[in-house]
Amino acid sequence: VSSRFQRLELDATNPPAPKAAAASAAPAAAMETHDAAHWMRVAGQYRRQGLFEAALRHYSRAVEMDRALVPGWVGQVRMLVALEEFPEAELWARKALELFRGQADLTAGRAQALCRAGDIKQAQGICDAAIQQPGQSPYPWLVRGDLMLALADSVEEHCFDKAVQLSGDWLTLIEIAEIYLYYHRPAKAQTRCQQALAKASDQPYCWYLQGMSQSASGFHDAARLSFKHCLDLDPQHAGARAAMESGGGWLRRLLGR
Amino acid sequence: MPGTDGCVRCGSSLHAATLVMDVRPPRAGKLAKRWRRAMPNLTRTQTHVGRLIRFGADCLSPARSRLVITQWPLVWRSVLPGWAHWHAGRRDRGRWFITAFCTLGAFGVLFYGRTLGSIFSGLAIAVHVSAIFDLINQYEPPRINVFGIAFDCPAWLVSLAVMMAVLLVLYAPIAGAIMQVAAPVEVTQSFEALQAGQVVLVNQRLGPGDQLQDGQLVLFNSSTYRVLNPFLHETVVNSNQSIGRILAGGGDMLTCVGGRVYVNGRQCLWQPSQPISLPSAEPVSEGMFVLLWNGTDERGTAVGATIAPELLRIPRDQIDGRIYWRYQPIWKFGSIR
Repeated sequence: VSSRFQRLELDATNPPAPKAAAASAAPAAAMETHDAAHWMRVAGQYRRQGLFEAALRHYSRAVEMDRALVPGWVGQVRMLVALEEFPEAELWARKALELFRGQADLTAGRAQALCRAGDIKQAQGICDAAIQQPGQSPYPWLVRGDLMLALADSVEEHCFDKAVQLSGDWLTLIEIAEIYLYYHRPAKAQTRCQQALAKASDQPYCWYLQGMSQSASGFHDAARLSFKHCLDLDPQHAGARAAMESGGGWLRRLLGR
Repeated sequence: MPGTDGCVRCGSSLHAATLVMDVRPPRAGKLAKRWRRAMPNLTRTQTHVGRLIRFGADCLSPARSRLVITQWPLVWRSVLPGWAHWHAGRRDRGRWFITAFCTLGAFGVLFYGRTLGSIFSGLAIAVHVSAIFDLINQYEPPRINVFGIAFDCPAWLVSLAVMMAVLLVLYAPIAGAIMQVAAPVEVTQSFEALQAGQVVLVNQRLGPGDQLQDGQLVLFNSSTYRVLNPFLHETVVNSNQSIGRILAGGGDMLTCVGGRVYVNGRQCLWQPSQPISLPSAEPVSEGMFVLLWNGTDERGTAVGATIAPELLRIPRDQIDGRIYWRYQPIWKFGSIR
C-alpha cells in the first residue's frame, strides 16, 4: 500500500532543487494557480537533474493544464525514451502526432523510440521526415545521430555537432553523452561531458554523467572525483552516492569494469 | 475551414485544447521492464540471434504478436513448385521449377525402394524448397511485431521457417501415409517366387478390422535380439523381419498326413519344401497364426514356436504387414499372390 502513496506528487509545487524539497508546504490553493508554463519549468529543472520520472510527471501536469502544449507532449515522449520505455514512447508519440500532425520533435521522438526498440528501418524514414520539417530544433539531429550509432555509422558526430550548433544549451551536450553511453561509447560521451562542464560546471548532473562515462572507460579514480564533485553540488544525489559506494571494489578495478 | 478541425497551415488539430482525453502516457509494467532489461543487447543490436529469439517469442505469444504476410495467394500456391511463380507472372521460372520437380519426382517413383530412388526424391523436394526460396527473395520480408518491438524478419529466417513448414506439413504426412500403405522392403532371403534383392510393397495398416486370410504373404518379426540402448540398458528389439505365408489362423485345426499339411481337413495349396510330420492334430488358438517360411533365420531368439521345420506359430502382433506388390525390378512390377 505504501508504494501507492510514494507516487503522490505532494512536493510538486516546489522547484526540483533538493534543498527546496524540504520546504514543500505550499497550500493547495497555490497549486491551482500555477499554469502550464510553471509546470514546464519545473519539469525542465527535474530533467536537468536527470530525474526523468519526476520530469515526466510534471510534463504530464503541464499537458493537463494546456493540451495544445507541444513541448509538453515532446517532453513526455522524451522522458519515456529516457526511462527506456520505448514501445510506450512510440505509442504516445503516435497519439500526439494525431493531434499535431507532422510536428518535427514529436516525429523525431517517435523515430527515436522505434530505433531504440529495434525497428531501425522504419525509424530512418520517420527521422528523415522529422528533419525535413521546418524549424530549428536540435532534437531531430540528436535522433539522427542516435540512428547512426545504432547502425554503427561513423557520421553520427556530424549530426550531433549540428544539434549543438542549433542549441547552445549544455543540456544538448549532456543528451548527446547519454546517447553515447546508451550505445556503450564512453570515450565519446566523456568528451561531450567535458564540453558541457565547460559551459555549466555547477550542474551536478554534468559531473554525474562524466563520472559514469569515466567509470565505463576504466578511469575509476577520475570517476570517483567526478562523483565527489557531483555530491559536493548536490549531497542528496542518489546516483552519485550509489556509484561512490559500489565503484571502489578492488576486483572491479582489476577487471576494469 | 468548414468541415475540418485541422489547422489550414500545419494540419494540427484545433480542438486539442477542448478535447477530453487522457494526458498521462502509458507506462511499462514491472514485468515488461524486467523482460526488456534481461535482453538489452538483443533489443539494441540487430543480431541474428536476437531476431531468432524474438521470432520464437512471437511464436509463443500469438495473442500479443502479429505476423503480417501480404502475399497469401502466393503462399498457399507454394504447395506445388512453380504454381506460385506462374501466378506471380514469372512463368519462365515456374516452368523450369515444375519441369525439374516432375522429372526428378518421376525418377524417384521409378526407383522407389532403392537408394537411387531416395536420392531422386530428395532432389525433387530440394527443387520444391528452392522454388519457395526463390519466391521469398523476390518479395519484401514480412514484418513481425513482438511485445511492441517491430522488425523485418530476415529472408534467411523466413526461408528456414518455410522449409521446415514444407517438410513437416506437406512432405512428412505424405511420407507417413505412403509408409503405412506402401512401405518398400527389400527381400533379404528368397522365399517362393520372391528373390533376394527384389523390392516389395507392404501394407502395414493392420487394424483390428483388417482380416488376415490364409494364403496371404506377410512380413513378420521372425526373431528378436538384445541391444544396449543409449542409457546402457539391455533392450529386446524385434527387427529381424522375414517373409512368410499364412497357412492357418485362430480356430483352425492343423494336421499332417503323409508329410503334407492339411488345414481343417483340406490340403493346403502351399506346402513345405520337405515332407513333415506332426505327432498329433495341432489346433491354432485365437490370435495366433501358423506361417510357412524358409526357417533359416538364426540371427536371434525366435519369436514364435516352431511346430515343424518351416512351420512357425506366432501371435498376430508380430505380423508387420501384408505383402501385396512387387515393385523392383521394374520389369517384374506387379501384384503378388
